[in-house]
Amino acid sequence: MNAPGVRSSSAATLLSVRNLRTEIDTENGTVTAADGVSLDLHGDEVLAVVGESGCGKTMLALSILGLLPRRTGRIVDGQVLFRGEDLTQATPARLREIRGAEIAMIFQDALTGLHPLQRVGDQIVEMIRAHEPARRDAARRRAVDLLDLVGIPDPDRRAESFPHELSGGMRQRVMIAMAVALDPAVLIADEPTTALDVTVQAQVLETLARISGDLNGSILLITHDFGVVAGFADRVAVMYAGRLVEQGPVAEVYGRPRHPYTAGLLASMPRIDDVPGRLPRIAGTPPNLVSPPPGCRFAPRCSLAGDICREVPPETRLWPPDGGVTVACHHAEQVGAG
Amino acid sequence: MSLLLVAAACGSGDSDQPSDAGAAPPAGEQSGDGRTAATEVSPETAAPTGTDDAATSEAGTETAGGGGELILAVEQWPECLNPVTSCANASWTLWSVNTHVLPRLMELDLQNNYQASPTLAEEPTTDNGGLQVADDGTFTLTYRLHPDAVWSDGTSMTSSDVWYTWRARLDTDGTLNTVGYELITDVNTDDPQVAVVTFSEPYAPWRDLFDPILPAHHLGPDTNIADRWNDEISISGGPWLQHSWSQDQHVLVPNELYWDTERRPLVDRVVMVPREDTDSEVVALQTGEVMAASPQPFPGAAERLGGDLTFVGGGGTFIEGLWINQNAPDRRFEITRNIRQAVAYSLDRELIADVALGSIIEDPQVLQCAGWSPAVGEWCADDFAHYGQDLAKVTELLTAEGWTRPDPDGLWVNAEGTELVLQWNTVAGNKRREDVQALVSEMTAPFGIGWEIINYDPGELFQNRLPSMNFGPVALFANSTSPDPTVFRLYDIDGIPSEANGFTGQNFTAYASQEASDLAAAIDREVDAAARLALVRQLGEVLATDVPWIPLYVLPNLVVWNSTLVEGAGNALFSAYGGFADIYDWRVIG
Amino acid sequence: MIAYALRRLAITVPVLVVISFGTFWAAGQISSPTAQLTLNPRISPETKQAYVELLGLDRPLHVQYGKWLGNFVTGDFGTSLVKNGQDVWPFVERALANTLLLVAAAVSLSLLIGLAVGTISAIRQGSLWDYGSVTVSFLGISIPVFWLGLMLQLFFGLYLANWLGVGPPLLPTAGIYSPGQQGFDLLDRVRHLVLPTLALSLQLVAVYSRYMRASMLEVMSADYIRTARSKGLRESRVVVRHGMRSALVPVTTQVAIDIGQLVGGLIVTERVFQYPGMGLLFLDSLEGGDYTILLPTVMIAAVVVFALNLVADLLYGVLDPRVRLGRDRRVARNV
Repeated sequence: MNAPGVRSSSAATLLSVRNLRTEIDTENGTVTAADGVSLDLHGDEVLAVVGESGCGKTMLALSILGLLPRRTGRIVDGQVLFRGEDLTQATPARLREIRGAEIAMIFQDALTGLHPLQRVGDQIVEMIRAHEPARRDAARRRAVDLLDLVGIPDPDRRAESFPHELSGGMRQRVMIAMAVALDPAVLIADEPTTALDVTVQAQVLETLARISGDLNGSILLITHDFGVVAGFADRVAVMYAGRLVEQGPVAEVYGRPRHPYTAGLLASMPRIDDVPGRLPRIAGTPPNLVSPPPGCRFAPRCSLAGDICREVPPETRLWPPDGGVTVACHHAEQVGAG
Repeated sequence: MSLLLVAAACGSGDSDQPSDAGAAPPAGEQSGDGRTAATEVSPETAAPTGTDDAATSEAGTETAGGGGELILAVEQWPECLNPVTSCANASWTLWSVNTHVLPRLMELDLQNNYQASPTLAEEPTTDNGGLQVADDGTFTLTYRLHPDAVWSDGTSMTSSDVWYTWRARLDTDGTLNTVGYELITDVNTDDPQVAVVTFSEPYAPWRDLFDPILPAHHLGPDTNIADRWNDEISISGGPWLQHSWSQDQHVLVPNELYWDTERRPLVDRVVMVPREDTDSEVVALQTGEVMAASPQPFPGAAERLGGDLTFVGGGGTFIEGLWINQNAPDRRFEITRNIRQAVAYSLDRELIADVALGSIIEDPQVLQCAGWSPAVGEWCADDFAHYGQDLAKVTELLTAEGWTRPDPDGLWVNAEGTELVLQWNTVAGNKRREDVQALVSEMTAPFGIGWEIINYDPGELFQNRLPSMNFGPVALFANSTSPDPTVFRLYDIDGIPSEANGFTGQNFTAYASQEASDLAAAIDREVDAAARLALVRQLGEVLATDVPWIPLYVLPNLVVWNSTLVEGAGNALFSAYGGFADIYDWRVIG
Repeated sequence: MIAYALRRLAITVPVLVVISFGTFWAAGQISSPTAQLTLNPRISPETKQAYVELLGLDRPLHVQYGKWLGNFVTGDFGTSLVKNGQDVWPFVERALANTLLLVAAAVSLSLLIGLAVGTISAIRQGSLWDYGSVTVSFLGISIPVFWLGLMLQLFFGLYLANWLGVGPPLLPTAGIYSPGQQGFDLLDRVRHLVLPTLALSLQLVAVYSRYMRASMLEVMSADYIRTARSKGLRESRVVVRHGMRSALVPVTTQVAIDIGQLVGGLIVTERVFQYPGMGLLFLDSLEGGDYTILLPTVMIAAVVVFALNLVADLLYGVLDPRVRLGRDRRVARNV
């Protein structure tokens, strides 16, 4: 928002994750949280990564900024290209320049994500001054403006509050204000509304949508909520057990899911026209990522699964070949058709 | 004199010992200086003697030779310095201040023999008319003061000072010791140079009195000196003048007006600093931060005091033994004389002394008398020498009272079926005493005598149990003796603490012998030295027969000095004025 | 907050009364100013009785206590039983000043080292440094102060000087001034403070570093640390301004609470180094049976410990805006 003219508004690829493999050590063993994930975020778009909790989507988000848990997490393979620069190889100093200024992040729980002993205004000021030689009072004025921008009433006074003195929605707005403070090219929002009440969720999402509209940034939205995706994202990437199973424009994926998992998720999504009753659920549970099944990871839960599915991991491919949707399923052709 | 009072405060910490004085008639065998030989641990022991000669040869001149600053460690920092009130109950008050600063009439030499102090022109004796017992029983001492005797402010010492001292002893609130002074009916001061002291009856321990003497012109005219001299004694009648006093240090400087040239100090200053922890005291000696100390005997002393440190150990006025409480509430049978003797016949006291003191001094001596220290005077004889391990005697003594030994390797059993087991208390955590307990328990097993050992904190044992006679029948601790052989309170038949008399009295062995009591009383009244020694010997034999307690050994005094820094130390090992009594003869070297 | 503080104070007062009476009673049980007279053969029972009456020791315990308490709360520390009627306050005042200096030196030094060691251990968890410091702090907690004190005396007083071939000891091993020193001398005073401070500090460093390590480990895995990193802050700023700022809250209050546990080590340290503070005064008055000095010594120590506990509680509220109601949050003790 400082210098919109500098920003590219082209649909060129801004952030590109290439074949990313991320490992996390857990008490039960080493988990491959992201296993050969590739995705592209273009300018001016909202890309949603959707999947059940534990599927690795948060670790994917953290991998991008090199924020994996220090002792237990690591990127073992692949690239994270930001405007062509591989962030996995960047020096710590370079990473610091990019964090916050070029790629900013909004975390799931603002109560724990904001420093409990620091006034919220100061937390925003700190963000600004980490990257710009702004004077404290100037930064402070910008912080108040930002709080105003994200819809916090009486922002001058609220800037003096500690996080625990604010409501959950307010806190998340503070998070958003902080993340957009430097007008980043990419905003990674990791489940930004999960910790909130349903009514507040909508308001916060609305704010996020408004801001993203005002700004020239792209958003990588991490969520488990297909409903959020539908109203907000341009494209969607569905993640299951550390792998992307389907990726494409929201309308196309929703209109005709190519992967049985996507189809299952969509089927279990409540709709306004639903008759009251139990929603269909996908049978079974996600696999243990310490020792995932050798073939398709969804195979144990899939009604279409055959021997090939249990033995050979499916390639990611365009389907239909001339469409904009990629899918990793041996039987993509049959999904929805049957 | 107040030496007797030294006793109680000596043992702080775990080596607490209650005090008691001894008295005994002379027992012939010991030669004039037949005290326990000092144990010289360091090879450098020749030095002190040499210095002594040097000091003497120099004494004629007016210059205090050598100079320098002597730094000494004091184990217990005096609470206050008043020589009349309870302040004087602490040995270190005397050893670190009063002895050096205040004059006295009669005094002890370094071997604890009484002699006239420099304050006196001569010792009062029967021959010179100084000591008279009149037909009506009154007893008169005539002290002739030395014509040169002078206080540090230039005022001559006079008979008024003697009078004043007498009155201050009696008139001061909280006066500590009035024994002897109460018998004085008058101190005649007609002649300033002659003090004539009249007693209502013969008082044998008179040499103890008038130590110190007090300056009437300085403290008077009020004879109640309760509030005086708490933290400084600003006048001197001794070799040293108190320069300053605080909780950190105490500084003495030579008294320029001291008239006895043989005791003119050789150093310019003496600084005494508190070192209450023995381990720290040893470190301070090793580092040279302090040059000398006079620590309580501690285990391993011989090993730890090596290198530049020289130490001598010997003498001592604390006698340790098995004190027997015949009235012990926990006794399972009467502690008869036969039983007491039997116990004495079951002990190898040579071995006990070795175990107790072998790590402190070489060749520790067994104590053979029950009330006196062999290091002091000639009072201690070999009364107990015939007690050694003797199963035949034990058997004879116990069988005579109906004890049997059904199991020849087991304990004796009396007619009621009670085993011969004695409860035995001592100070918990005192290694020396616990070692002795362990040794004795093993030692007496073949003699059929068993022990039930229950140990207490020093406070519990000495302040609660001992005064209320709720200990024993057997307890192991040390008791003090004095240069004067009085033991009356220890053996006074009317002084057995009991509920009936509100636990007053100090005969805590509950030894009820009219004969011993009378002899002890007679010792305190006999002013003739030879006759007195005979009475002490007589009492000693009675005690050895009745065995009110079993003497084991004397706790030795220690004097330690850094031989690269100090010369002339170690000669006051036996002195009741403490190991620093002769610091006027010490010099700083290096 | 104020009401809370007042409530805490109200609870503290009766506790202090109980402590003082307990001390009073115990002092009479385990030591007595006349005990040394009892066994002195040259003191007649009459003299002893006169002495007891002079000191008022024949009055019932509660009367003696009441008299003492009445004087104490009105600021009258009275005169010493054993020091022949000298005023008590100058002795206590001097000891208190010395002890406060020693404690302040030891706690400051220990905080400086302990917090740094704990922080480095936490951010390098599992490193050689971490294992090393955990081992050393375990030793530090296990080594008796008494033994450590002697070793320090031997090392700095004796071995080091011998090894370097210099004459006088590098550091004085006891007292607060060199023998013969007259008047104030800052350098001399500081030199005498070094060894007792070290002796007292080892254990504190060990404890503080373990508190800090545990606290930092917890804090550094918090979400807001990740947020701070995501903002592109320098790692040093993340650790210090975000990590330590939070980690210090429980540690600070724990340090204040722990002051009470210093008492034992302080007594031993003061004894070993002949440091004329409250600990030495306590021992001397205990051995001398002087409750007139023993009681104010114990009471002042108790008041200080209670006050610090209260301060710790209030401090938590000040340091952590989330706890303004005085809710009790302390770092886990078994860190």
